[in-house]
Amino acid sequence: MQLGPAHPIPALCPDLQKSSELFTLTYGALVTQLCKDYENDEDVNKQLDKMGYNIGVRLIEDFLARSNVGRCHDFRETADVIAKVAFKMYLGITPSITNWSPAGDEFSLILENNPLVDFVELPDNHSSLIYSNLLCGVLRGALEMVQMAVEAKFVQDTLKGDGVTEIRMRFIRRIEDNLPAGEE
Amino acid sequence: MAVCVAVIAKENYPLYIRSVPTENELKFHYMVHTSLDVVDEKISAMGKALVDQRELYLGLLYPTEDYKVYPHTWQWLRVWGFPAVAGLCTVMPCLGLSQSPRIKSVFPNQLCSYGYVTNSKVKFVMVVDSSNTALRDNEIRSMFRKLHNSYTDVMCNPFYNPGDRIQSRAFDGMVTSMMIQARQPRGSCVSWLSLGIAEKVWVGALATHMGCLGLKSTGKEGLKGPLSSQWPRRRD
Repeated sequence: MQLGPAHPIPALCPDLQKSSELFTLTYGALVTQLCKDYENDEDVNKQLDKMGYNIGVRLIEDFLARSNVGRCHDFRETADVIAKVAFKMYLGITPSITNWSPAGDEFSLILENNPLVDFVELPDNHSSLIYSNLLCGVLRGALEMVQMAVEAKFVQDTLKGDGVTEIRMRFIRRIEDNLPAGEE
Repeated sequence: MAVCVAVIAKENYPLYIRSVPTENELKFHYMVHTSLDVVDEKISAMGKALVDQRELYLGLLYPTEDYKVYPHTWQWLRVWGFPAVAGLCTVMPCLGLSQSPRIKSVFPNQLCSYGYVTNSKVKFVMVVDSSNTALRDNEIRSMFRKLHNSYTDVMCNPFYNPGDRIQSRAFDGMVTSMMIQARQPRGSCVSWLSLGIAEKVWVGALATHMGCLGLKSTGKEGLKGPLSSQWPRRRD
């Protein structure tokens, strides 16, 4: 008798669509648990951002390895890569990029539908909770690893009655590698 | 369409109940409560067959007939300020005409309750007003399907604790869409028939006139007063 699996083990998530509910529910459980653990919504937002940051600094390695995108020459190119490659790869959606500031250092990501909030209805006592704040943390963390300090924040949210979800991204500065003295 | 929708937990307490019209809510609560016995009966009677066939829809639980008393044509004419009619209203009781039971606008109202039970033993009960339209079984079934899907979405909301009362706006909206918004009291035409010949000429013309203007009767609440207390009323 032969031991071992009769069939090859299928990939963990062969179809993103199939696992999206599990993903959504997992994220929901995470947020509600944070809401239980912390007194006010501000702390929960901060915590979500921190968790997102920690995901982002790791995720960027995976992203660069899998996507084969090269170095971006300007912030517009970065925006394109984020929307068309990164969001597509990890969330299965392609947000649109709008509202560029004249200086070209600020833009908005418009999410028509946010998979994180599929079943969510914010209760009245959590009106200041930024439910998907994890995404901002991920963006901030990932870009920081490629020498870009950015600020990301939600300015519109479908959970709060807006028509779309909008993440505003602002470029702050390039992070110069501070090499230790004596090394080149 | 549906006049009352209820979601009942496994332990037979209500998770959600809403009915239109809201003034006799209690009656619907009783009706749903009674339906639960029938649901339990049906589940235990079907027993294994239910599980095997995966049939969640229980069908018609029981029909009831109740009677609605709509405000009298005379009275709302008086309320709307027709002096001549108001005068007549004052004279009528003296002549003993209004004491006639025929003058009330009473007509039967057929209500049916339907049941649906999920595999997790959450029950949906729907009371349907079938006096003017007979709904087909298929339609009821699809309404329950919609209700079930919507309930599933509520359960997936991470902020909803299973077993709590359902306060979801999305669920509420879906239930509203299944319910009729406001039923037009058909009192004017029915009472028109029930009036005597002499009154018919007077009021009939006025009622049609009012009907053309799109005026509605004001409901039971507007009928307080010394005069209206003299009208025969049916208690429900």
